[in-house]
Amino acid sequence: MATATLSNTPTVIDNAESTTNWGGDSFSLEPDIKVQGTYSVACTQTNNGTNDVYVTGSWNFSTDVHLRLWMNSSIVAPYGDTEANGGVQIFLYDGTNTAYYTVGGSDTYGGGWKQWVVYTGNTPDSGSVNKSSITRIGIRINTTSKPRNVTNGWYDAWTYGDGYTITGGTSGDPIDWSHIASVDSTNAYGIVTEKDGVYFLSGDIKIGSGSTTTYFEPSSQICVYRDLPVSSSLYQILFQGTGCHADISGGTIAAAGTQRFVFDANDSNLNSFTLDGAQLTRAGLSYFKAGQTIQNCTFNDCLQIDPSTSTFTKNSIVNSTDTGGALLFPSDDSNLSGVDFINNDYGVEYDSNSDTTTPTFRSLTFDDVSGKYDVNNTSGSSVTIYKNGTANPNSYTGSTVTFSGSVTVTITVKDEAGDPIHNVQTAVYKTSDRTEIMNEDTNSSGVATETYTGTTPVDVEVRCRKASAGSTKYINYSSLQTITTSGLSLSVTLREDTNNNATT
Amino acid sequence: MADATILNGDIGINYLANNRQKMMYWIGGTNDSYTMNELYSAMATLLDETTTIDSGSAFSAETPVEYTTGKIDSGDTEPWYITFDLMEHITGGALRTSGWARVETSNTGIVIAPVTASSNNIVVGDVGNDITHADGDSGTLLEVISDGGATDYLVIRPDSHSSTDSFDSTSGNLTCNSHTAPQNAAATTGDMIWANLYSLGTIDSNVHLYLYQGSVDDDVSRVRVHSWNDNTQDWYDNGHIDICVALKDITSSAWSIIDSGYITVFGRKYGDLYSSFEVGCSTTSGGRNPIPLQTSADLDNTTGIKKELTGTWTGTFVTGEIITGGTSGARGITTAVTANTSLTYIPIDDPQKDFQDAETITGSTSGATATSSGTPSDTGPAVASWFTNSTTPTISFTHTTYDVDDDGSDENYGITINCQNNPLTEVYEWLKYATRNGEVTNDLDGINGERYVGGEVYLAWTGSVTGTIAEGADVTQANSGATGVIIAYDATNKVMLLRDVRGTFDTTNVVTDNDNSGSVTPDLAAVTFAPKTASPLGTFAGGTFFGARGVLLSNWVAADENSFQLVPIEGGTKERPQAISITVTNLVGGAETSALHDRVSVFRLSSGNINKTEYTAAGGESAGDATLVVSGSITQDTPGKSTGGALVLVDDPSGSGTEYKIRYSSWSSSTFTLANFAAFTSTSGTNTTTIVYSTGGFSSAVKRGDLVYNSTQGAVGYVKTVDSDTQLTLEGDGITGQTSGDTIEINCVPITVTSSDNVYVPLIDKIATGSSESVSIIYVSPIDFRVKVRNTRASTPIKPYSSDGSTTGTDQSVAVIRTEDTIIT
Repeated sequence: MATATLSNTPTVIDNAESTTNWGGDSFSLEPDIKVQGTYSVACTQTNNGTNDVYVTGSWNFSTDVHLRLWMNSSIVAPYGDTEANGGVQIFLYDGTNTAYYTVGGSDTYGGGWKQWVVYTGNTPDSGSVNKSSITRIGIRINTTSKPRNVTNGWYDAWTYGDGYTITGGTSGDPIDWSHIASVDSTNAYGIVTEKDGVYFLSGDIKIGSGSTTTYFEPSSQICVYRDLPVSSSLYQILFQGTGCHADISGGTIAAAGTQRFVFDANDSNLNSFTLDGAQLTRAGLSYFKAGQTIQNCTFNDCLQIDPSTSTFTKNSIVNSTDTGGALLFPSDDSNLSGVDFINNDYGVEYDSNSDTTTPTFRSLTFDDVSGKYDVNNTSGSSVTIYKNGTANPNSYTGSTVTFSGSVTVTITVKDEAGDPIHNVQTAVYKTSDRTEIMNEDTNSSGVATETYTGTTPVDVEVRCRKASAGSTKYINYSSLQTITTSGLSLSVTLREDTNNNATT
Repeated sequence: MADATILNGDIGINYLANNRQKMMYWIGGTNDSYTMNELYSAMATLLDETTTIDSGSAFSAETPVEYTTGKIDSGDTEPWYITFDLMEHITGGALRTSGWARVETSNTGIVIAPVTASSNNIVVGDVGNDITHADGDSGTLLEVISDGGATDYLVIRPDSHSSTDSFDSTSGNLTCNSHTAPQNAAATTGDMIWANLYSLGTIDSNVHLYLYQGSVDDDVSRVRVHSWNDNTQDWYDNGHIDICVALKDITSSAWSIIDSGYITVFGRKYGDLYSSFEVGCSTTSGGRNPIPLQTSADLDNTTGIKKELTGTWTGTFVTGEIITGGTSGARGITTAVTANTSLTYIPIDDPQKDFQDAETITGSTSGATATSSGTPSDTGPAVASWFTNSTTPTISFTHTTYDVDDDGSDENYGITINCQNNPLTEVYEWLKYATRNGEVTNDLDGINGERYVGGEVYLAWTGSVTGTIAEGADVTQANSGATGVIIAYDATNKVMLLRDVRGTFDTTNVVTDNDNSGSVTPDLAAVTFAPKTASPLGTFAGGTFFGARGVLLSNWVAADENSFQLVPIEGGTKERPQAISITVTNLVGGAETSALHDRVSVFRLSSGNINKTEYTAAGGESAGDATLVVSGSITQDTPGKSTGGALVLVDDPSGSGTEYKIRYSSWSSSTFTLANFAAFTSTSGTNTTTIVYSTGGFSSAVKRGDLVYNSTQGAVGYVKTVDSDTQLTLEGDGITGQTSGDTIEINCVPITVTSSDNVYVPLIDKIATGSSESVSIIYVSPIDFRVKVRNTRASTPIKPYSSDGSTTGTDQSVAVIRTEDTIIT
């Protein structure tokens, strides 16, 4: 049974294994009601108004941290004020001043163990504090009526930190979110917690560490970043290290509310990474690198994906509002193919580092939503994008983009009876510059076909002629057609030319 | 060298890749022409190859005889150009173009830049080279059209549809292949339509058909169709035609349709019955238009109009053969030959060339040859001396009235042919001469005779004319849009005769004179009728002249009194009443002013005596009056109703009974209008037998035998001779006391006329002007007559001759027996 190893874990403020340093009320050790270790500290909070619990110490939070404080209180729901009125607050005290950060209230917390998380970099809801010389870290419960005089508050495993680094597993026994959540649960870090099969995330998660062997292979697991008052740059899943092998199959990684998380598999040392069949929702920037495979995935409401030269294929990117583009076109497009772009403000960003050697969209399809663009050319230069397969880009913003396709042009020529006509001189020319796309005789099936590589849609003129003496002569045919992203397939009916009396 | 050739190498093809030529042009060498279908088929064959399919289709065929060239395929950016020269070698179908009309910003098209011919150094050999204008326009020269006139036309495919390549300068030099030409007007552009015209029917050999085209309301614009590269000659041979004719005017900025697509084809070889047909070609496709024509030898028009003197013949020329000048190439059909002397002929071909001096003329049938002497001279109806009366007939185009059938009601006519007392046989040949192919100097109603067709529409109205309408103007009818040119118009009689009509006039809408702004609504009649194509002023058959509608004859000879049938403007046929002639022959005649010629008279008889009580004078005239009225109507068989004659006024037979012979110019109803020479004052030199009037006028107005009334002296005399324009000599003793300062009048009433006076009219009473004299009389009933001829002054005087005769409804001829009077001195 694989075991995850967590390192760089949050710093303990107090694990409530004794009542020492606990203040604000009278405490006892509680062996049964806890989240970590042997005890929690318990108290009876009966004030109609403020009910404070804090740990005394010395901390320098001049570099802001994420405080993670477990609490189990039975007075908030019945007696506490609402979150809007500051029902539950984390506070920092520097010996003189106190800063309060509201984290919950009677309307958002019903009781039970809950890890309150707050980023000290947030602006306090009230008060202020010298974060470099913190002497108390606590929780205040504001009540609107007097609680009953019974033990009603338990506090445990107070820490601060962004997240942790995960290693562990083997190729034959890899770890997944459950292994992490299990270890996390033992230590009550609260970074990865599991409830009812859903993994809730609340910190910076680094998978792999240097050469330490790590095999991370979650399958169809659902992870959701919690919508907490954390730093906007906190949430991240980073894959790193030469010993790290990640293979994510299926499942979902999402962010709740307005949160986003960086999904970074671009560590230069990262050993291997595969993302297959997964759905990322509200990811921030996503990074991948050469040698990786990202396929069959859906990126929903994510910011920009930088696939680098990974094999990025058969994915869907939907609802992106990234102002650069849902997908950054890589410096080498060889491994990019088969992506459906749906309802993205900007589909592909072509920047100054993007592939300039015959940049090709290989079956990159776009849904043509009005007002949205398939390509955002931020390179500062015009570019011709070659279309391949089912690629159908046709709109762009920024510098000029010319779309050039490679499609099949097929002309089938029949007579008025519907029978194919052999040896009809059949030609196709661009109307813009008369470039010849086809010039050949139809075969015995009346078919002439050529592959066209170039810009699509492109207006062309189709000519079919069989007017020489020796066989049935037909009236010259000419029509204007369009080679679309899917090519051109035209059926032509030639009428016999009874006026053509050529004999030689 | 052409990029490709078709049809035996006779037609060259240059592609767009060859400096943007994309054109078809004539090379020739094998055949003279090809059908439109042959060209279509050949181009279709040429362009269905892998190396040629990049060129747009040259043609589409709307029907087997209607084709389009230019931009045919959907993606064509540049139209095919076919040269105007090549189109002169195309038969059997019409052609129109698509995409030639240049549109700045969207279609490059084809433009034609006019340049001053006299300074144009750009030649046909420059075609295919770049051509630029000094102000920056550039293109490719496709054709040089030079007909020898003042302006040449350069056909250009501009390099682009930009306004900078429109060749729209009106000055400055064009340069092509280091040659220059001064542009003198902005280039024009448009799509062209060539209608195909082919004649059918039977036409005489050697007929050269010719065409007229152009707005009929502007006689300057309506011109004979010539080759694009010749301003005097067309491009096809004699005989039936099958040709393509451009329907648009390349000199107009947008190549407007010429005369709504109308073209008139004429077959008028002098000596033939003519034929012409006006066709209204489709202005969208041109169309293949049949031109039905019928010409044949005109047995009444056999007199040649040119004579070439020759030296001694080798062999014998015969009439009716074609003679050809070995050097000039001139050809004609002989009508008369005089051995070793001359060949009289009718010129043929186009152009009709003259023989040169000292060239060999060869007869096609006889094989005879002769050397010409000098250049040909006019003869036959081309010269006045050919006519019996040595005077060429004339034609006037204006309204007149005349009671041709003597029914008492005048008819309306618009064209008067003054026969000048020449036989209708001669007049007819002259009319043919005046309307023949090549007649471009004889002005018929302001246009060349060779294209004169005659009246086609008659309008009449009951209301009044608003403003001024004038003959010669062109008119347009509201709503119907019909147009025409006024040959004759008369506001009093409310009729109008139109020629060169387009459309159909109706009786509802107002007709406006486009030149004078007057207008009238022809509510009474708007009748369209066919012109006489065989001879536009009148035909001649079986000895009878059949005038074209609106044509009136005047001054015909008496013998022709019943040899014509006329049609007044309002229609119907009019003929003179049955007339007979009394002719006195074997006369000595000449100038009436001479005293040496016979006096010849023919008098009516009554009971064996000269009837001197034929009329009773109404009375009331005073001496000097210019008219004389009789009681009752002048009888229909009184001669000279319009041509004049002589009457005798008998002063009260019961009194003096003096007879005064007075010449009259016409009569009507009861009134004789005397040939009056108004009273004048005689000048110095006047004496009893001589009258001098320094102002003159005698030569044209006074004749021997005219009555002279000297009111100063109250005496009468008769002119013996008209000595000069200012001097007369009187018979006998003249007028006693006559001198200068006397008031004298000629051919007037010499007395105060009363109802007691009588008047009678000799059928003939004049000085013979030739070897015979004749009078035409409407035959009413038999007339007994007496012929008297006297001449005592001739070199051989004769005894008075008298003989009686009677008319019986047929012509009478009396030969005078001239018995010399050897006694008289």
